Amino acid sequence: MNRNYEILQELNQLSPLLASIGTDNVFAVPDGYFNSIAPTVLQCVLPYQGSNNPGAAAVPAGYFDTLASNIMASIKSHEDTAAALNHISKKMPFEVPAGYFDGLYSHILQRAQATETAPLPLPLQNIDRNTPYEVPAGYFTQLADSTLGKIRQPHKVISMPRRIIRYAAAAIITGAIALGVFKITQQPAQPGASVATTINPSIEKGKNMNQQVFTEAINNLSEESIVNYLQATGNETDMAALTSELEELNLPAQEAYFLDNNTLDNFLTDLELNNTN
Amino acid sequence: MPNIHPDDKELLLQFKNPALKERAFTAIIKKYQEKLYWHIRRMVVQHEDANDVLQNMFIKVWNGLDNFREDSQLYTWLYRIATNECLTFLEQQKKRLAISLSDEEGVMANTLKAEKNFDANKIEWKLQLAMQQLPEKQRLVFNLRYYDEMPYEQMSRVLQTSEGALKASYHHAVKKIEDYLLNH
Repeated sequence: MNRNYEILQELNQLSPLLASIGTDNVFAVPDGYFNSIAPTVLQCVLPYQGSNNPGAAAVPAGYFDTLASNIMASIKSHEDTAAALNHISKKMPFEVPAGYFDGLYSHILQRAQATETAPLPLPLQNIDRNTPYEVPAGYFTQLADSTLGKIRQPHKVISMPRRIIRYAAAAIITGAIALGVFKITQQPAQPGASVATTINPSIEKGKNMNQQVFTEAINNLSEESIVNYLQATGNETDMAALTSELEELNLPAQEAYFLDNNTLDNFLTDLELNNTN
Repeated sequence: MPNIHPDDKELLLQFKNPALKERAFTAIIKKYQEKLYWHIRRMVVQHEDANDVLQNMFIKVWNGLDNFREDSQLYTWLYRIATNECLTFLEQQKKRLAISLSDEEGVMANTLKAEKNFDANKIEWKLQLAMQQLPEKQRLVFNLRYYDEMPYEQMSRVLQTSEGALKASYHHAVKKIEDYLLNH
């Protein structure tokens, strides 16, 4: 057989040893095998053809001619078998000892009683039947009461953790500060409508004073006018003071609240100290 | 005298004609039976197994030929069915005989040694033994290239694998076989 030159060249490059072997067939095939393949396969596929095509002859030749007689023969065969079975005696071929069934009940009863009264095996006889476990003294007498007590117990009130209260307080303060800032910055810029001027005209007057004159004026204020002023406008003034204080101070970083529970307390303490100084 | 087989297109046309269907199918079997038989035989080794696989394969061809799209070659399509049947048979055989992956080559080598004309000294038989060391897919590639001299492009359609992967597979197969022949 002539080998493909290109393929042989490729093989020669890969393995000259393999290229030298050749492609001679070593397997044997039965004589005439290749002549028998086509008829064998057709024999197999022709029933398939019948099933694919219902109109084609799918039954052996003469099948319907003999069908009735075949069915009759089959019925007769069944009848013959039934008749033959009817003639067979129903007597069992096995034997039982004489009087076996008479004494069977009493025999079973006897064995059952013997099992009930039988002593325990020796190793078990010597083992104490008391369980080795211990129960606290009075456990069983108190069991009913303690169970009922648990049932009647009022619902537990779970208090909010202290840490959450701190965060809530921080949120409230932040909100209040933001609200204050918003209120101050959103005031209409009309003459005589500022916080200070609406609170007390002396503050407006004080704005135009120099430090020394301002200090003197403050010192000359009577205690009564200070009390009256704070009573009338204390909230807003405190808020304004707090806001200005906060603008100057650096608020703790957000992470600080998570790292240390006392962050807010410390901050507020510092703030208070600064205000009092 | 070599058999002159009708053209595939002509055979397919005849197969579509109910009156010529059986004759066309017989002609297709006769045209490709030997090539396909040897392709199968080299994979399953025993004649009885090869015969079963070949017959099953042709039964499938009979059932599927009506739906065969002529955009691919009949020859390629037949090889693909034969290859799939081989792989299915080998898989079932492994399950039936409970052969593990490590035992597989030993079992196939023993089957080879039980062949009628087996001669351990003949290089052709050694080559068959060496081929049993290869994984199934690599053995298929080697068979198609070495014995059937199939171009990679056609092999790619039969095995549904890229030409590059087939070249690499053939290269590895040749090297493994050479290594076996030099050491046994």
